[in-house]
Amino acid sequence: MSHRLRDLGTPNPRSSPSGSQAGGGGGGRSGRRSLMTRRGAAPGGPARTDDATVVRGARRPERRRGGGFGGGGGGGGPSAAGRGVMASVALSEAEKVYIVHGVQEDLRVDGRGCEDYRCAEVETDVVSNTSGSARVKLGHTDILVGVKAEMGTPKLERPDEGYLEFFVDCSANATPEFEGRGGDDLGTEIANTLYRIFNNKGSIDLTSLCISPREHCWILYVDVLLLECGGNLFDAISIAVKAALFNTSIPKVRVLEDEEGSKDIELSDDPYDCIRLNVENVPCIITLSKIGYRHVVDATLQEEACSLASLLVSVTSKGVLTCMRKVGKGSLDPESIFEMMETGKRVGKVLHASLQTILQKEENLGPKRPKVGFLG
Amino acid sequence: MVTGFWLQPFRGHCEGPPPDRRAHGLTAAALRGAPTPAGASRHSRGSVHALGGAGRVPSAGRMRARVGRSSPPRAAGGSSAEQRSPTFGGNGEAPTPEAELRNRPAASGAAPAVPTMPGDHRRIRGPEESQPPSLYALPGQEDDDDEGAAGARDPARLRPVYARAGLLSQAKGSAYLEAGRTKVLCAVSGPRPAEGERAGAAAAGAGGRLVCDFRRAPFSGPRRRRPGGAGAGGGTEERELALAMQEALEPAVRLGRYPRAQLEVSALLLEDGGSALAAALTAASLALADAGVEMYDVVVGCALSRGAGPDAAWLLDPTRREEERAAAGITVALLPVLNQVAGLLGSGEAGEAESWAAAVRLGLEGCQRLYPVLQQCLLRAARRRGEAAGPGPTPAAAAARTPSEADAAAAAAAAAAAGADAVARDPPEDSEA
Amino acid sequence: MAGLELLSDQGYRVDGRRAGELRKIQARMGVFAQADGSAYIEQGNTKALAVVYGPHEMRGSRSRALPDRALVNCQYSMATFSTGERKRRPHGDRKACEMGLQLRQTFEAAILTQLYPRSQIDIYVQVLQADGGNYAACVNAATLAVLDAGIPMRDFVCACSAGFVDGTALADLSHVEEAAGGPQLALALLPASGQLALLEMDARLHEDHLQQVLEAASQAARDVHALLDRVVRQHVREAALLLGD
Repeated sequence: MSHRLRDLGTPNPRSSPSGSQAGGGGGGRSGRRSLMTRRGAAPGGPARTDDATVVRGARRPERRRGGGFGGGGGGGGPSAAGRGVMASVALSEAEKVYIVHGVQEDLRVDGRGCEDYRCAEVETDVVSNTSGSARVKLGHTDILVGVKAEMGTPKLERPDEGYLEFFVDCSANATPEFEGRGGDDLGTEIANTLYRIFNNKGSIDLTSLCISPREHCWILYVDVLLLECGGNLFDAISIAVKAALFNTSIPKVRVLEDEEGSKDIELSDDPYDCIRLNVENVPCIITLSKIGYRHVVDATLQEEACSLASLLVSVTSKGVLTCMRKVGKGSLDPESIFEMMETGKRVGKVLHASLQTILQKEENLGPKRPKVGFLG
Repeated sequence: MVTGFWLQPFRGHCEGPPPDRRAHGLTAAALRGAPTPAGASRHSRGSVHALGGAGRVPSAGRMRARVGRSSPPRAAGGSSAEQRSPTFGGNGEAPTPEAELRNRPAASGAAPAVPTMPGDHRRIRGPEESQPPSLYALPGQEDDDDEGAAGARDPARLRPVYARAGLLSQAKGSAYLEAGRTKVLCAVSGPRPAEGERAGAAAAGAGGRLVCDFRRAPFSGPRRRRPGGAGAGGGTEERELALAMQEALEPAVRLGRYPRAQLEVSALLLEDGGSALAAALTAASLALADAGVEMYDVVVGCALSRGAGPDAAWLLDPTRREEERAAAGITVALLPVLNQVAGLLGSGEAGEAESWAAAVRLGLEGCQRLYPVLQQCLLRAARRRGEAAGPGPTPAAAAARTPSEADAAAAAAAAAAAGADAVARDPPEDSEA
Repeated sequence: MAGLELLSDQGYRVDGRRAGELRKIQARMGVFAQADGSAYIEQGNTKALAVVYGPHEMRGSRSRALPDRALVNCQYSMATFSTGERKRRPHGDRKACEMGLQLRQTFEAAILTQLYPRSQIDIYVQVLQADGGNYAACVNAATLAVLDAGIPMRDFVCACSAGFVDGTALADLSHVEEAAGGPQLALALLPASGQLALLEMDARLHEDHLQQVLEAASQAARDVHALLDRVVRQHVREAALLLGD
């Protein structure tokens, strides 16, 4: 696969050992785009899209408070309370009451309203030996998605289509509970949900992934790596998957048939000669967590601990629902389900619009874009 | 640990005198919607009995295993038994097993005729993967073996449901549910002390844990499935449905009453005739109630599917054929008394949110209509249990029954009224079945 | 890979480096907020993340607790998309287990484990992109993460790989050079004391050349140390600035 090897084989720029420098400085940030959906002043009114880059200084102290440098030592440290134990942050009753009452007043602990997302950072093309990749940071939730295109045979039921395979790795990076096989259950659950939201003809044009019917097609392995979880995993993962699919380029192939009827597949030599996927209809998941009598989008871990049940809907940019699922051990009132679906649709449209703008903007910067990755 | 729990029977459905037997027969027949009620019910009862037999098999298997362990591997037929017996005789121990062993091959008298050469299934190997011929059939040539052929049907029709609780003697609680061709068997065991690596987590939380397992029998669908879910994607689908079951049952079960304990619910889908998850959910909640697990409410599941195209309608309780053709499907689970949605799982192309909302409404309505059937089923199970436990119909009990005749009649009337909905909607079904 | 010239007559390697030259190293500490310590490193195209949790109470069975020191628990995993061919599983295979064990041995030699009896320190490393020298990148990242967590160590642990081609020792092998199948040596060094925390070599190498390869690897490890040291100092400076000192 010339396409993939292109990056691996690229000669590294000559550099002397002393020539490298840690990327700790503030300069490299401009490469990563941030995405922010915020509801306007009037409830339910048009949402304001703010895609300015994050002000770095504003975010930093918060990160430190979470227990960055030197927080270890004695063992507990300031990070003990906020440590990302999956959906089970220990909250006292008083804390819960505080959060629930705040939500009642449409004012959440971090100052957001009920339908506001946290500031999301999206960067594509972060792992160079993939066909497409993206990293999304939504609050403390950190997701890396790599898409690899490999050739395979089409499924028997759909001979003229390629297909997507999802795999979610809940790595021990996120929480020690995921060590070994500990993250497998959650990983399978998320992967199944991803299969579900892509389980319709409209999401992605699978026929474009077919090379020759019944024989060859592209299989897109969408591998999700969960690096840190700070609540609202599903939404962050779906945003990252969409961004990674947007970034995916599949090398063009030609099928050559010789006289005996045997087929040869020729991969294009030009690395820029490739197929891009149309991701316009790829849905994003909106998780609506029921807290008290209201529901919020983009819940933090603390808020998730206050919510007994959430509704997960996947919405396309046109506001079409492709999947819905109740999550959690509580039950929901039928009327609130209908309300949540409406909210999900409204919020989803806005989210898609700003995501699309940002992806497009980043794309327009072209290869000159400074890559930030994990160094910024 | 287990003895520490005193399980109350499911009060909500045990109170009051048992209703008239005739009322059940009537409802059941009406629900089955068959022109010959007797034949229909006999058929279903037959299948239930077969299942009961299957439930007993493990004990026999265990016994055989025990005998087998004390003996060298059985190479062939009866002659080996003759060779074996001196060994036991020499030991001079365990005369009873010896006799048993001696008798065993003799009992299976025809066994010596069994060919000693085992079939060489390694050499004659089939293809690694095989597909059923139906996949190659031309479209449009579909056999109309399914109930409810392609013709238009009432989108709100529910297939006749047969439910029976408490049929497995070894499980704490069990239920069998048939809706059309879909057949699900569900068993509940526990509560028992939570085990596994999550024990600590369960202990930390306030309540117990509900563990669900969903399995399709290898012969449940049109294609044979490899048991154990080892097949590609098969295992993950079962796990997804198991999780959906767990999330839908958790709101109904009072897990707070079972600290540090776990309840295990396992559903076995014997035949997939569509709406499998919904049937499994309903059966599971029946089994939980039958086990005497404390619950807020029963869970009733209902599935819907919607064909392709912008103006397709949502069909309640789809058959497998309808599910295959569908572009979207959804399963809702309702707590009917509390009117709370316990579970929701759906995906596909159904257009706008309003369409999904309509589907949820229709589904919830369907759940409400199914609820009386479950009530009946639980009542019957509770009474059957009471009869089995009690020392026969004592005069006192008989006396007690007589004055409650009026109540029974009232209950029967209620049941008829409740069932009327289903009956009223079912007539088209009768003609087809 | 026959015909591929790993070292040109002019003394340049496939990617244009000299024999003893390292690939470009970039690193950052404190990548994640929730972990006690975390770091990210890029060595050429090899990218690795390391996260440290602890020291904390024993997780799981308490019988594993050591009465006189802390237990160092390591897990090595590779992202499924990190390699050229997609990997099926990120961790749990034989190679990953072996790597985890090696990391554990390396860090038990460096961390002052006797300070934390009956407790546990978790080090999780994740290779995001594999382009040769995975072990070295992981060790270097883990060192930074342990420092970020504020766990006392005897010294930095700096790792580097080395190979041997045409009578010349090559430092910091890339994937192409590794795949060529020559001898490979991985070394983890405590630079201040010059002690080796881990030394591993596979394939055949004449004992006369061992000294030369070892020299090259340890020199490279010292170079890595200089870089890591600078990263740490920079990080501390920034942190101090934020604290307003």
